[in-house]
Amino acid sequence: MSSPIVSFENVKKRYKWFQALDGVDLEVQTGEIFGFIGPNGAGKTTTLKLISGLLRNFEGNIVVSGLKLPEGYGEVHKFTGFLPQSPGFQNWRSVHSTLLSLGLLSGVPLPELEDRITELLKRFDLESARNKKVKALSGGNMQKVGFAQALLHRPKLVVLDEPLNNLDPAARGEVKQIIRELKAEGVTIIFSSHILSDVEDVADRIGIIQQGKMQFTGTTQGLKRHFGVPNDIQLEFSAAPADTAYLRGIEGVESAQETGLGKWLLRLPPQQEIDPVVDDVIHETIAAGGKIRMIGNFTPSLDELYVRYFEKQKKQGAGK
Amino acid sequence: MNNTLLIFKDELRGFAVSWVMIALWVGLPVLSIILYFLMPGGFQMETMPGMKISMTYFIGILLSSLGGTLASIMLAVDIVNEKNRKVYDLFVIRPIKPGSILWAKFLAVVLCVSAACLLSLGAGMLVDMAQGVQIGWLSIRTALEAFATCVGVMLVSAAGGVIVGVVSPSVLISVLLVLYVTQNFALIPMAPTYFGFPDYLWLMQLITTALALGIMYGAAAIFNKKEF
Repeated sequence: MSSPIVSFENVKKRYKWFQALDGVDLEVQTGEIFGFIGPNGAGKTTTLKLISGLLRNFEGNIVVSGLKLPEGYGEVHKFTGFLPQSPGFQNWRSVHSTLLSLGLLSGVPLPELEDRITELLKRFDLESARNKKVKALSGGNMQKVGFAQALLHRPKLVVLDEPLNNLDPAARGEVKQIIRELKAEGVTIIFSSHILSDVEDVADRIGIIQQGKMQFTGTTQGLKRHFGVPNDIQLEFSAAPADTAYLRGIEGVESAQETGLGKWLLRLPPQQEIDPVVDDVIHETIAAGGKIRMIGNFTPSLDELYVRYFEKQKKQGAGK
Repeated sequence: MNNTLLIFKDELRGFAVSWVMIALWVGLPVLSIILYFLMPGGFQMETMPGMKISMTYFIGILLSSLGGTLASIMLAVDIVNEKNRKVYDLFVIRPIKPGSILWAKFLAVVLCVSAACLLSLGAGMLVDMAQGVQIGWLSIRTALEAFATCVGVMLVSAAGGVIVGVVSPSVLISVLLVLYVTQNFALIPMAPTYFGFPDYLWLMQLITTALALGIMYGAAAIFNKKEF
């Protein structure tokens, strides 16, 4: 088991009228990709800003790579790269000038920095934008420049607030690939996103934050269990039998619901073994004169589970 | 290289190539000259009626009031704009003190506007020469004194502009604060004249420098504690 590079212990952060974090405990292990999800205003950005030092006043304990914050921010900045949610750039600068200036401020020596800028522009497919003014770039390219500046000094910890914002599907794929490559280089990545399928694609572990409290940390599989993945069978007929009432009578089937033309969803009790039910469905369908195109265990996407989870939480909150 | 120096060089480059500064370097001398010639009968010296004020002297007076206001507004607006566009986020996450950004901006603007003032005074002297005014030690001394006064006032006004930029939430509020509050800071260094100090220029330089440093340290302290 690797050691935690970031550790939060009962961290609270209050803005004037709003408790943004309310006792957050969190550990991110060295070398992992940690994805942060949660509804708007849940505390994702506040957590990431505390790690990066944009916010410095808090209660509780934050330790980054053995350095206690806020005292250790000076050192932490030397090995941490940060992409803010909407990075702002000075209007008069070109892409190259922006990266050059920020790289020098990060302490990268000039000859090495020029090579690094060229390498990053190539990696982010921004070579043609090298001498363009940053303000003239599209939202997606501006986001890429923001990501590139976070990597100038080869940080060992990269914190990304909504890195996939403003990106088209192709660029999203490229950025996800870069995140995976960084992990392969031994870099720890913490990122937040609203696009849960993206989080599922790249994150080793996921953290859910809601109303300033961590609701869950673990793997995507663990998260699905936490959300309560339903034990369902999805069934599609290529030729449906004349009478489908037999589906409800199969042992282990709690309910059967037609979801489309020739498509059914069979709900099983949580502890029910799925394979015997699948066998029975196949046999009884053939006996009833039907033909099956597809049958299998139905797993909803993380997005669907996420929506269900927060709707459930909202109802529970309203019920209190 | 020291990070404050790095940001200063960057800011200097940024301001120097900005449209505002280019307009100032060309516009300020031109505006001063136009204003001088537009005045009917020219300016008369208070102490010597009938004696026309030289162009150098006129520009000196004009710059003392204009230079500070320009520097102050430029700084306040620039800081508020960059703050609101989250430009400083990318600086603050690096091993630098946020206050360094303010010092760098302050020095860059003071240097740029001072250069514009020098250009204007130079242009004034050229026009005087073209009009047959002899440029002797007195003219040069007048120009240098005007320049020193201008820089002194500008130091205080610019520092005021910085602190306004730090505390203002919007450009409009920052401009109003500069025009109605911090511009009055520039009157403080003039105080010795009311008490009849004979050689008030050096005293004024001392007061303006001390006041500007005090305001700047205050602004930097606020900015260092600020959360982004």
